[in-house]
Amino acid sequence: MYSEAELIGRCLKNEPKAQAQFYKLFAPKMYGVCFRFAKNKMEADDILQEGFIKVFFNLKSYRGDGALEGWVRRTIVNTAINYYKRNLKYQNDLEIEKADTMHSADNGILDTISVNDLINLIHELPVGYRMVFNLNVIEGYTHKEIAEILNISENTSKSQLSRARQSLQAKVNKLNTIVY
Amino acid sequence: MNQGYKNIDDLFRNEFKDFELDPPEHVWENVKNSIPGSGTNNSFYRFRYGGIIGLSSILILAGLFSFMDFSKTTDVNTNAVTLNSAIEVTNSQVQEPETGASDRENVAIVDFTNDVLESSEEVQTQTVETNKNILEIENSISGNSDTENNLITKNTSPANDLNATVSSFIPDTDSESENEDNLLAMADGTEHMLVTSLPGTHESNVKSSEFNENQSDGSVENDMNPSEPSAPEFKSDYGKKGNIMLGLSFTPEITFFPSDNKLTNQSYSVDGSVIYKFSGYLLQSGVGVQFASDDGNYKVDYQKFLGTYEDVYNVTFDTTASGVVPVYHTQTVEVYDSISRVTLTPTKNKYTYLQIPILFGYGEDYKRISWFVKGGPSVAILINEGQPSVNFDSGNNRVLNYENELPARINTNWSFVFSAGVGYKLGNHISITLEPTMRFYMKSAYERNVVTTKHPYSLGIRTGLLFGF
Repeated sequence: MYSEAELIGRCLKNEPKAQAQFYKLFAPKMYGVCFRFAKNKMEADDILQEGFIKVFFNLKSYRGDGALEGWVRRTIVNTAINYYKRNLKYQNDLEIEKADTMHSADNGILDTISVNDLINLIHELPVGYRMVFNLNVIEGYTHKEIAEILNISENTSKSQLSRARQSLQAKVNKLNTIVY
Repeated sequence: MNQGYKNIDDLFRNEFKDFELDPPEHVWENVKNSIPGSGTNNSFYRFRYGGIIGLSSILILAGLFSFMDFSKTTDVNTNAVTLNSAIEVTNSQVQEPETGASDRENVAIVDFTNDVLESSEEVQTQTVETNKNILEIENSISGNSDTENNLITKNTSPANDLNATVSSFIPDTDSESENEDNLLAMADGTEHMLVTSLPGTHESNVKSSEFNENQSDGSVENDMNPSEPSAPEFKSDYGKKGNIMLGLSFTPEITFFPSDNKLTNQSYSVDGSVIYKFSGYLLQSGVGVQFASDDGNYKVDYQKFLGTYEDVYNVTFDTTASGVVPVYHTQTVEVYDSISRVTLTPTKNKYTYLQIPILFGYGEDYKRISWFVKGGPSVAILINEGQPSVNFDSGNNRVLNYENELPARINTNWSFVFSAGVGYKLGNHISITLEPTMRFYMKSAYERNVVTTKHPYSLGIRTGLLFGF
């Protein structure tokens, strides 16, 4: 096992062993990221593949200012955004269903929901909502940044996030009903 | 409600904080096949097929030229047989006893060898002896063939070539019957000799003409021993031991990228080569250095500087006579615009490659001019890469990130080179060559174009000097 600095150096020299280790180190976490942004497993596979190719080719531009994982994650997220933009014209967003309830869920109940359930909930979101929710809530992008990235207005970003939350809240409540 | 949203946010944020999934195996397979190092990249297969096609092309061309050469030889042989038939007829007429026709023929023969015989009357009265003299004189002329190919005479008549050719085939003998036998024997062996003498013909002609120019008094000098057999010595390139040439060349090249026209760039290379020539074929290798550059931009992400403020990070209280006095500890905090901006600054990346070609080809020489075709694989290894630092004056602004938009180049790239050129002899050992060259790359020189069916290619003109040994 190489240290992070050594791993980068060896990857820059195109050493297969180092490249494999690099991939194994980050791929599971990045696949999780891809899975959140993607509509399904196939899309997640495509984003991960494209993203890691970019990572390896642009590794020399990593200056070591921040954490390597953060840099890789940002590259993967950018790839997912580009993937979304490329396929935007093929997307056909469904009208989001109105939230059945606006009541907050109990924290104890939320703890019982598995991550797979949450993934499924996110996958059920329209692609636009999913992008905004992922970027804002999980990745920490501001609405200004999201607006620039997705070429939408800040208000659109905010409203889409609001609707995404409503939808997820409703689905969580439904899930809660089923659980109990 | 807000609390509910907050819970939803926290729920997803916490659950996905360390969320991991095992990616399927095929993703890594695809990734490693698309990056340099791990993947096979199919370059071996591309190279293999490209190599087979290229080598086949060269062999076909070489075979074609060999066939053309053979056709030319056959024509010459036909002429030679006709010529020998004429010689036989002439000799048979010479052997006829003192007839008017025979005398006239002999006179004609003597006329062919004018400036050599002293008296035509002597020939008319001594037919047989004259015939001997003709043979002797002609043999003495052909005696000069030791220096070069028998074509040595001042005779400027159209019959000169015939005369010289005849003289070259007549051995030194005093006997008529032997003479005839030898002529016939020579006729039998003509094909072989002519075939073998063909490649060197132009060279011999040049030298013989130079020699003739030196014979200012018109006489034919023969410093050879007349009694020495003057069997013709034919010089031939065919089957002879190969020779070696050294070359020094300069090649400007333009590389085209069908997948992205913006990447079209120019390069220059200097190379030294060793060429081994054998029977028209040539094998070339060497080492070259190629200098290439890419023009592009740095993309700079920065945040605009808005100003500063004094931030109170601590407050302490001093008890003084007048009471408790707060002491504010501050630090200056710079404020930047939260919106990042992007600017492009031009840059130029420079690359140096080491090139090693192995070329196989075919060529022919015609007097001072020669032509050749050749082709083969060439490997280019990136030995130096110069990326200038970003030229951006940020002032008080904060640079978040800068990225060279130019795609990185791969370290090793194979290409197939095909060229056809001409050479011109400046001297006995030095030639200048002009050689249009086409280079077909097995894959893109850039890393980002890893998945493409459009291969880059380059066109160049290789000029240089060849030194023969």
